[in-house]
Amino acid sequence: MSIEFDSIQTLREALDGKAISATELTKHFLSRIDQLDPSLNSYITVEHERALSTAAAIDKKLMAGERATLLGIPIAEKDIFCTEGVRTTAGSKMLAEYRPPFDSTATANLAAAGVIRLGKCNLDEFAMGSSNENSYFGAVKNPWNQERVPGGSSGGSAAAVAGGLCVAATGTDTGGSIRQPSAFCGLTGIKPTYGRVSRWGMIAFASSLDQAGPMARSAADAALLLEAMAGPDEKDSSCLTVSVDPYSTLIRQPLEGMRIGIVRSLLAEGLSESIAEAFEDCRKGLEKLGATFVEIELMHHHHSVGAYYVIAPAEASANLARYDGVRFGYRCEDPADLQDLYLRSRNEGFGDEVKRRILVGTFALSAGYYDAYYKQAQRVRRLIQGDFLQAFDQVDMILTPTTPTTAFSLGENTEDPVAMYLQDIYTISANLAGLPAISFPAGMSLGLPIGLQLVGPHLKEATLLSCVHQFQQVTDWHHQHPRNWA
Amino acid sequence: MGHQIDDPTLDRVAQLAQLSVPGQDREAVKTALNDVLTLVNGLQSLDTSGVEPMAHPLSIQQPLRSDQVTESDHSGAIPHFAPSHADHYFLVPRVIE
Amino acid sequence: MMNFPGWQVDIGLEIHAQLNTASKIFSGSATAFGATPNQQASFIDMGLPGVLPVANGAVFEKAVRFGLGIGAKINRVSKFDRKNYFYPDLPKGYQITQMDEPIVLGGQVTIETEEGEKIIRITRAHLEEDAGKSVHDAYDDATAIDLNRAGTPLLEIVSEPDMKSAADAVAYARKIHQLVTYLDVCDGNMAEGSLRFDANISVRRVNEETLGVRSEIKNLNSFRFLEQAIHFEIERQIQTLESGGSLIQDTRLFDPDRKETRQMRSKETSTDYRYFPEPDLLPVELSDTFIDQIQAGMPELPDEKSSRFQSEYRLTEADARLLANDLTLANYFEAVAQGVTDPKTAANWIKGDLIGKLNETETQISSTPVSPKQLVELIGLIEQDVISGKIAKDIFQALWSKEADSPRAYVEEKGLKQVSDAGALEPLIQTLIDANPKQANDLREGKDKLMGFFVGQVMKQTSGQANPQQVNRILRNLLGL
Repeated sequence: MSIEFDSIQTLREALDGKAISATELTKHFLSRIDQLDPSLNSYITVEHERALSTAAAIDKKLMAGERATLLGIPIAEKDIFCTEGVRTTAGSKMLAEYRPPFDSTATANLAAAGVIRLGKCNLDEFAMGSSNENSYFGAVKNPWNQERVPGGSSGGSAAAVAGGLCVAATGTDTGGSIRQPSAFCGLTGIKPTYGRVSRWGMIAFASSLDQAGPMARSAADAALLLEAMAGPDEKDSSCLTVSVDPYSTLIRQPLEGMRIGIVRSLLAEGLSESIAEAFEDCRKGLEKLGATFVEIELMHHHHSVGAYYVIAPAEASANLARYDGVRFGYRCEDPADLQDLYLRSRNEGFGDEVKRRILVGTFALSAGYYDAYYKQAQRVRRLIQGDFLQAFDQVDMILTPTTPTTAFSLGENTEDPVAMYLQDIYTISANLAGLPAISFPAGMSLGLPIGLQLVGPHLKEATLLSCVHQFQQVTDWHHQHPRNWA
Repeated sequence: MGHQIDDPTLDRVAQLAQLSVPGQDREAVKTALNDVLTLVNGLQSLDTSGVEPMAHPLSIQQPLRSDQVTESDHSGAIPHFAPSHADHYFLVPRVIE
Repeated sequence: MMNFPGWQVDIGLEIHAQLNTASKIFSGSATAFGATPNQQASFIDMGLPGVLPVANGAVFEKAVRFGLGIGAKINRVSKFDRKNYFYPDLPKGYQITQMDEPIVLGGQVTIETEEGEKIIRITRAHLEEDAGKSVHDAYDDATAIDLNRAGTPLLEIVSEPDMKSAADAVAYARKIHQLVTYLDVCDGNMAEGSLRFDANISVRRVNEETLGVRSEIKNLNSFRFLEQAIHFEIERQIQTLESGGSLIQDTRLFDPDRKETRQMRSKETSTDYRYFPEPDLLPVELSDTFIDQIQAGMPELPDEKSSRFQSEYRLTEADARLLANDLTLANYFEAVAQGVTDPKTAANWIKGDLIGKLNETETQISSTPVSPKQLVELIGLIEQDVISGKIAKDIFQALWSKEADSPRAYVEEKGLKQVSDAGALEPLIQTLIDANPKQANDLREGKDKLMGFFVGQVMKQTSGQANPQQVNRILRNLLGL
C-alpha cells in the first residue's frame, strides 16, 4: 500500500508502532522525488543527506520512546524560508547560489518539533506570481494535469504535497500564495492572522502582507503544522505575543450554531459555473452540519486588487533594494564601476515580473504620486478592513470561492499580467485586512480540484480549521489524489 | 482618470530603482505598467476623506528590546556569501567621492 | 568676526548625535568604536535576506531626555519610515528614520555671543540609524565596505535658520554638544564622529525678507571645520552674487585641506527618497509614566548649574560658567569644593593649574591623573598652613606625574612642611638683615617693596618651606616696624 498520501495521524501511528521507521519513510519520499519530480519540477533543492541523517537521529529517539506529533514527518519548505547552510533562492537568479547563515523561525520551529526536511520547493520569483511560471528554476506542473499550472506563488509546495512528494509543506501568502495553489492542487492551506507566524528569515516580498502557513492534505494535518510553526518571536516586531491555540484539539469543535457569511456580489460575474455549483453544495453541506448562512456585504471588496497592486509593489520596491550585488547574491561580471554593478546585477539578477513590480512600486512612492497612489491605497485598505470587522459582528466567518476558475493552462496568462493579478480577486482582501483565511477542496471539475475559502476574524484560525475539519468528516474531496499523474 | 507612464517617467522611475529598461523592451514594459495603473486607477474615484491611512494590519505596539549586546562577531561568515570581499570587508568597484 | 556690509547670513544646522547606547538601534550588535571590519555587523546590520529590525528601548529614553532638555514637545506616538536610496554602505537600500512623526518637536537653546544671548529654535529631532563606512584608501582598485557603524542610533537635531554667523553656528554646535553630554545622550567624542554637522547656509541683502538660495554642506565633523566651511561658503555666495552671478540650491562637501566647499549634487539631480512607513516596525507609544520617570531623573542643566555655583559657592559668573560648561568638570569642581573651606580656592586651582595642565597635555577632564580627593587634600594642607602655596604647586606637579599619591604623605616623606616656628626663622632673618644693611635700612625708611626681597631670600634659603606671613611678621618685628 502506498503511504505517500497518508495523513500525519496515520503516519504517526505507523512510526510510533514501529510499522515503519523515519528512515524508511524518508527514503520512500526521496525516491519518489528522484523518480517523479523531474516532470513536476516542484523542488529546487532536495536535501538527501541531511534528510537521511535527521531521519536516523529521529529513529534513535523513536526507539528510545520519545513521542511528539510531528517527530519523523517528512515535509518540504517553500524556498523562501532561510535555511542555514542550505541554498535558499526565492526562485531568483539573484539568490541562485545563496546559502543563508541562519534559519528562519518557521524552519527552526518545525525542526524543533521533529519534522524531517526533504528540501526546498519551487516558487514564483520572490513570491511574485499566481502560476509558478515566474521562477528562475522553471515552471512547475500541476500533478492533476501537467498541462496546467499548480498556482502560485507557493506552486512547488502545492505540487509536491499533491503529488505525494512530501507529507505537507510550508508556504507564504502575500495575496493568496498559499490558498490559490492549495485550491488548484486540491489541498487544505491556511494563511494565518498577520503576525501569527514569525517572519524572521522569511525573505520579504511585502512586509505588511506576508504571512507563512502550512499547505497540507487536510485541516487536521494543517492544524498540526500550524501549531508547530506559529508563536511569539522576539526577532519579529510584528509577531503576535499571544500564545498559540491548540488547533489540533480545537478542530473537533462542532459546527453547530456557527454563522457563516455569504457575499452575493462575489458570486456573480467572472466565477466559473462549476465553482459556483461547488459553492452551493458546500453551503448545503455546512448547513447540514449545523451552520447557518447570513448574507453580508463587503462594500469596498472590489477595490482590494487595486489597493494590493499599489501597496505590495511599493513595499517590494524597498524590500528588494538590498539585492544590489554588494554584500551577497548575484553580482554581474566585471562591473566597470558602482553604477554598472548596480544596474547590471539587478537587471540580470531579477526576472521580468519582479522588475515590473519594482517599477510600479517605485512609481507609486515617487514624488507627486505618493498621495494619489500609496496613501490612497492605504486609506482604501482601512475601509476594506473596516468592512470585515463590521461583518464579523454578524458572522463567525465568511465563505467565498478561493479562485474564479480551476487551474489554468501553462502560458495562458503569462502575456497579460493584469489577467494574472485578477486570479487573486478573492484572496487578496484577507491579506490587506490581516485576517486568517483557509482554502479547502470542495469539488472537482474536469479532473481538476475546486477550492473554497473561509475568512475569519483575527486569531480565529481554530474556528476556520474546525469548520473545514467538520466538512472533511462528511466529504472526501481531500482524499482524492492524482494517482495516475506520474 | 489616472496617470500614465510615459518615457521620461519610466526613465526617472527606473533610475530610482537602479534598473534599466533597454530600447527593445520599453514599449512592452510601458504597456504592462500602464495596464497595472489602469487596474489601480479605480482607487482614485473612491472618497476617502477622513480615513486614516493604514500602514499595518495590526493595531499593536512596537515591542522594545532592552539595550543589551546579544550579537557576536559574524564577520567570519562574510566569505561564504559575499560576491567580493577581502579582510572581512565587502568590496565594490572604487567609488570616487 | 568677518563682516560683509549690506549682507545678512542665515544658517541652520542639522546635527547627527550618535546615542551612547550599548547596542544598535535595531539589532543587538555592539556600538563600540574601533572594532575590526564588520566585526560588529550582525546579519541585521548587513541587511541579509529575511532579517527584521527590533527597536532598542534605550534610544527612546535618550531622545526624550534630549527633548525635555530643550523644552520640546514629545510626540507620544513615534513612527518609523523608510528613506530609499542606493549607496554601498547603506545595506538595505533604505535607511530607517522618522519622517512624519519625529519623537521631538520644537524646543530651543540659548547661546552666548559677542552681541549677547541669542535664542536658537529647534525644529525637530528624530531617531534614525547610521550608515556604514566606505573605505576608499584600503585597496587600489576597490572601495571597501565596513558596516560596523551601520545601525548605530542617531538623533538628528534640526534647527531653524536662526544663526547669523559662523560664530553663532559654532556656539550653537557647542551648546548642543554640551547638552547631549550633560544629558548622557551622546559621548560627544568628536574624533570618533559621535557628533556630525550638516550646515544649511544662505545669504540675502539686508533689507530682503525672504531667505536666499541655500547650500547644504554635509558631514562636518569638528567645530573648526564647521567654522571654516561656513566662512568659505558665506564668502563664496556673496562674491558670486556681487559679481552678478546666481546661486543654485545644492549639496556641498568641505575639503579641510583646501578649506573650501565643492558641489556634490545640485537640487535638480537630488534623489527622490520615496519615504513611506516602515512596515517591519510598529508605532511606539510613549506612556505618561515613561516620560514622567525621565523627567524625574533629569540632571541639572548647565545654565541652572552655573546659577547655583554662583549662589552656593559664591563664584563669579565667569568662573561658574566655565566650571558648569562640562559636566565632568562641574562634578569635579563640586567634589573638591565640598571638601575644602573656601570653594573659591577650589575654583582657582581647577581653572588655573588643572585646566592649564589638561590643555597643555590635551587630556580630557575624564582622564585627569589628579583626583578630586587628592586636590582636596592638597588644598587642605594650604588651608591648615602645613605647606605654602608654592610648595603646593610643586606637589600638584608631582600628583600629575604620579610621582606623588597622597599629598600629605608626600609632604612628610619629602619634609616639605612649612616653617612657621619663630625660633627657627628668627636667627635666619637676623643673619639676612645683618648681611644686607642697605636694604634693611631702605625698608625701615618705607621702601615697602624691599619686603619682597627679604621674604624671597628666606623662601630661597628654606626651599620655600617658610610661612611667608610668619616671615613678614618676624621681619617687621626685628626691624622695629
